[in-house]
Amino acid sequence: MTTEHSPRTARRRALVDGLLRVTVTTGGLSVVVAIVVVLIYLIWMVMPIFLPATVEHVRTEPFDSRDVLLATTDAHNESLAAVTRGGSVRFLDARSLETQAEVQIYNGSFLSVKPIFPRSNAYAAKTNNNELIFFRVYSVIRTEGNQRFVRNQAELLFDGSTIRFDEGIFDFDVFQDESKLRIVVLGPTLTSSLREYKDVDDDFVLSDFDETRLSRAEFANQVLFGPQGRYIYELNTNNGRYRVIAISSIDKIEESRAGEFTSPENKVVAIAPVLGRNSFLVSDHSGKITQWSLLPARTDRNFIPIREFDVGEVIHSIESEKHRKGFIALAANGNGHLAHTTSNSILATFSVGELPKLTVLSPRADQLTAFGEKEAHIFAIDNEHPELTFTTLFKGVLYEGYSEPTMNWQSSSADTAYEAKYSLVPLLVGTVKTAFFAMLFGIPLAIFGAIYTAMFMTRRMRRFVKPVVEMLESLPTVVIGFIAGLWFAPIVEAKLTSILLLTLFIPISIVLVGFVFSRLPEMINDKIENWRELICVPIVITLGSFVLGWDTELSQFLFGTDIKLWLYEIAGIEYEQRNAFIIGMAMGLAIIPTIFSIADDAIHNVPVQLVRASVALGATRWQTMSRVVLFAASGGIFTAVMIGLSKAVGETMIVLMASGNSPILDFSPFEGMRTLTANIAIEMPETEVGSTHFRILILLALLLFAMTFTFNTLADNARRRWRLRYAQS
Amino acid sequence: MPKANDLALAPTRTRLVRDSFLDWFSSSEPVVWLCSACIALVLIAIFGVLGLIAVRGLAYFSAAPVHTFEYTDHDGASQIVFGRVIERLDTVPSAIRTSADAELDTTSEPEQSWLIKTGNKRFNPPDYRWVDSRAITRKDLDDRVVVIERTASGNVYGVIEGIFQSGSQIETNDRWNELQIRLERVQELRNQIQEQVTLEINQVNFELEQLRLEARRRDLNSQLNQSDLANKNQTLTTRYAILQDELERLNADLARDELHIRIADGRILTVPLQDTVRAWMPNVMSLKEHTAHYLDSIWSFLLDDPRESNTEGGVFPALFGTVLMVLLMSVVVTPVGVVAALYLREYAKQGPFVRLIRIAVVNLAGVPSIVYGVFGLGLFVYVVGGTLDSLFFTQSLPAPTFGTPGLLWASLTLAMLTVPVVIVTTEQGLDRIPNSIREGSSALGATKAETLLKIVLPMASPSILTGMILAVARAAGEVAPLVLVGVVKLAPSLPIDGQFPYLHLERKFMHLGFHIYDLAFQSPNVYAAKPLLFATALLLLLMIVLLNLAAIVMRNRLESKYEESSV
Repeated sequence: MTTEHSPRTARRRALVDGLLRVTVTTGGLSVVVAIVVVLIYLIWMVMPIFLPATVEHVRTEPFDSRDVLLATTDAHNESLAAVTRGGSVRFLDARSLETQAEVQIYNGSFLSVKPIFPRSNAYAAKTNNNELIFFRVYSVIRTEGNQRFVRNQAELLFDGSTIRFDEGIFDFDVFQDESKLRIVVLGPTLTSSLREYKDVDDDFVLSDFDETRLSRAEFANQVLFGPQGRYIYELNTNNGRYRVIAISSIDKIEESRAGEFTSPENKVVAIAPVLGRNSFLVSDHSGKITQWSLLPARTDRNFIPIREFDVGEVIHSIESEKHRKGFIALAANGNGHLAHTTSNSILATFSVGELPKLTVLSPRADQLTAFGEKEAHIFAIDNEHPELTFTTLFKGVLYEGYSEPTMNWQSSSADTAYEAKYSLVPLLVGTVKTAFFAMLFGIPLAIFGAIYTAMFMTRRMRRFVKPVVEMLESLPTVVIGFIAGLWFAPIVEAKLTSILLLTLFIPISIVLVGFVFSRLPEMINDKIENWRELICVPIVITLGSFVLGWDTELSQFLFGTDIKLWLYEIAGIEYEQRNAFIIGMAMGLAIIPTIFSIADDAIHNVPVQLVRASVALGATRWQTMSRVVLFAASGGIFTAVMIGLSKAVGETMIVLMASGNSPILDFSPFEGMRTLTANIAIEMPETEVGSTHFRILILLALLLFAMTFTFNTLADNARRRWRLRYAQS
Repeated sequence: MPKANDLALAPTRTRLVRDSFLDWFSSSEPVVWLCSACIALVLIAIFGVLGLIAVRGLAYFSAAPVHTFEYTDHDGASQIVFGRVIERLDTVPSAIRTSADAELDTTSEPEQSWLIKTGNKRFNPPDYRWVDSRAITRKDLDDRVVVIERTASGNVYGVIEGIFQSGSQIETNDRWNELQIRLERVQELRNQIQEQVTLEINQVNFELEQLRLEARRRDLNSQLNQSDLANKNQTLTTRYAILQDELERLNADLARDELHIRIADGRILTVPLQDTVRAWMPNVMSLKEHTAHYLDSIWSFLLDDPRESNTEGGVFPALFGTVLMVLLMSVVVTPVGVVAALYLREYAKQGPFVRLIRIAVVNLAGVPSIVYGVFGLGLFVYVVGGTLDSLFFTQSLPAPTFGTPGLLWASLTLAMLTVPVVIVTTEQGLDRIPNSIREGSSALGATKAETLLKIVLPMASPSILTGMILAVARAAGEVAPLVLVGVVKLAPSLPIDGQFPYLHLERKFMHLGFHIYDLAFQSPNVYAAKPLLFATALLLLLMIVLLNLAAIVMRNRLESKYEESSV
């Protein structure tokens, strides 16, 4: 007792008390903060895709661009390489436009320069000697300690090879991939020629080639290679006429009919290919830009208009982005419009002052340099995620190469020029389909099972059954998914007829068995009445194995053939091994314990007085059950269903393993699907941090969060009300 | 008269049955029967799944007999192989249907195709064959067949033809016994290499890497004096060379013996003994040998590394990774969850704010696990990990240390996932403690801290433990978030080893659940993987069931203890 009064001990005790208070409070609050951080982080990561794009004028520098044919900037916007008429490459500081170095790569002059499609930083130039010469610009970055040294370099490709066309070169284009180099030259007369060099290497001289002569379209003043170098486009940039030539191989060439961009009354002003050259942007005098997309499969018409951009003024120049499907359109008065093709949106409008002679869009499309007569204007562009709008996410979009609007999810492809398709609809439909089939199997089994367990089962049996079903809840879903995908799916595929029939046969036979038992003498009947579930088990198993054993015969008898063939012939329904039906059963099994447990509690906890009162008033047991007990427990049952739904929507492994994961828009029970969850699990590990794809996957996570949060809140509310109602009892 | 009576009676009787059926049908009984069928179906499904996993999983460890099969293949050629049937299907795809179909006795035997595992991979491909069962003309047991488990290329099925030492055949009467002796020698040598040489080589490698990083660190700090490093480097390199020589010597010793095996079609397959793990004669084993083999199989399944792109060998790294990850997680989640519950129940003022938090916590338990994975990847790995890297691990940049998925982030992500479980169960435990106890403690002069630490927390400990075990059980079976935050198909090294700092939180690890997913859907030959899959699923299941049982038992024990003391 004496120590109790010692001031030191008292101080120490107070200190401990205070310390614990502070620790627990900060600890508790930080958990709360952590919860909030999850939500904030997700929203914060998604936000940028909804921010508008901006274009800001950074600076204007005096610059004489008269001798510049073409210019390009490096990935970091540090230096700008300008190809001059004098056959040199001039490197400028991308900000101050001061000349840093000049490399003379050709002794003579360049008449025109074009990039080698689809390489970056490699070019072909037409010289004053009717020759083509090839070169590339690159930079060597060396770090010494913390300092970076950038050395810009330009060098000739193919060991300085030049290719001469004696008849003259009106226009040309060059294509190169891993195996070949193709050159098409539009001659000044009525022929053009296509050359192909095999096994080319940047360091070796171009030597052997195959050549094909083509009759050139009279109207053409420009020639371009199409995607994978498999097409040649001959264009007239003044009237919008075009012709497409398909190249299967160098000696198998198919010239198709000519066509025309836009209608005759609207005169074409500018034409520019979109990244990948599957489509062209065409501006005309109506003040609109139309995107025309190549339809490889169709022969009657090569290009169809897929999108229109109503900019409201006549566009004189279109500059396409180098790594995305966006573009900048410039009008005569110097107004610029930043737009994106897939999202069909004009993202920002700005002014360059006057129509520039030459524009340079940086590789990341974050800087625009517009060269006027005497000065150059530099603009900073903030446009990280132009692809996404409400339409691209939720509505049908007419993509390049498609003839009608579709809702697709195809987020990536090996081809960099690929138009990413970010429609969430197939994923949402997949999720809904999964949840629907899971509920279709799960709810009846769980709820009816719970009704029986809570009301009719003997107490001893219930004490066994309930924990067993609840134990299923801790069964890892990866195990269920594996059993469903690898063991169950092949069985269902082989025995589809009998599995479908069993859903009919089991209830019928159980009812019949019930009737037979009801005809037994009352003494026996009373005894067995409480063991119905145990009677059911062998009946279901026997019936099941019997029907499964006669699957082929049943199928032959009912459909005259295999049921899958029959389905295909009658209704055009295809059967995929991993499908919604399988998912429904597997996921149903996964959500049954949750629903069962809550529903059983709800029914079991209905106050006894209610039941007694009902029986006292003369209601039968079933009347009491259906009108009193179920009504009283409806809140709990609703909670159970909501929690089950939330689980079905959020489950990943089962769908990942047993659904086939193809993001198709389809409601058939025998086709697969891809859900939001599976999509995240598949694509998230491979996406680049901060990219549009990354953010959209986080948006999916946020959507999932919102969906399950709604279901859980509904469930929680119902549970609270249901508790309050019977709180007194 | 009697005749008329009969006539009158017959329809009445039928009507009676029909009417009574209709009566019965309109009563509640059919629905009750259907309800009972529902629960029966659920029970069948549960026991079906559990039984399937148990039976197929346990069968994986047994030494099944190896038959001699003679059959006609698709091209009409006759084949003879040793093997065992591991799968039977009721259809025969046209790709394997034998061309001699017409001659087959199609009436007596049902159409079936069997998957026969014939082993001898790469020597007599394919090692798994689908065979039209009706085309099998012979299926019998050969007593001489041995099965040899190899470290690469799977099992060998065949008959011992001869044992060779350094190229010359050993004359022996009991080849089987001789083989056993030599296998033991190989095992011993292998252990020696593993325990003495490889470990030390790893250590030297590790130190060399540390030297490289140190040199780079000094580079970054513009320290020029690196002569001490060069000396150290020299010593280590010399040591490395010596160890390499030693390793080569032992390996040469290991490669001394060879085994010649005659496979079913008479060809001879040479098996270097250094590639073998163990051998058994499945067709002549006694019960005792079977039991020993069974236990040995379980043992090596639990303790061996996976082989042949995970389709053979054991699951030790996955088991180890799962347990370690879950342990780390519980170290994080328990204090955090308990503190949060203490705050909510004992310190916070009960009001709308606390109610809101409770709702949020309950809701959080229902958020899909993959969302936590996204969060873990985005915030933990990229933001926190990236920052850690740029602050403390600049010398190894651009290769990320913590800025990439790994053990730590996986544990933290799962801790976030399971913290609601701990909070809710702890709170329930705190709720159950009557206020009179707290008040009594205060009345005796105890401070709040003393009341909590000495009275309330010990009384709530059963709930805390239950919460923790439930969290662990949930975490052990959770795979989806791990796909994003640190699990890999095949980790090069365990997260714990003999090198400083012993526990490598930044390493990627393997996990039983992911192992199942990966084997089932990424493995080149799913049939080869299937038996192992069932065994792995069984192991995971057992782990989780045991954890759940532990939770129940511990709760009951502690509850009864405190109930007695409080009465």
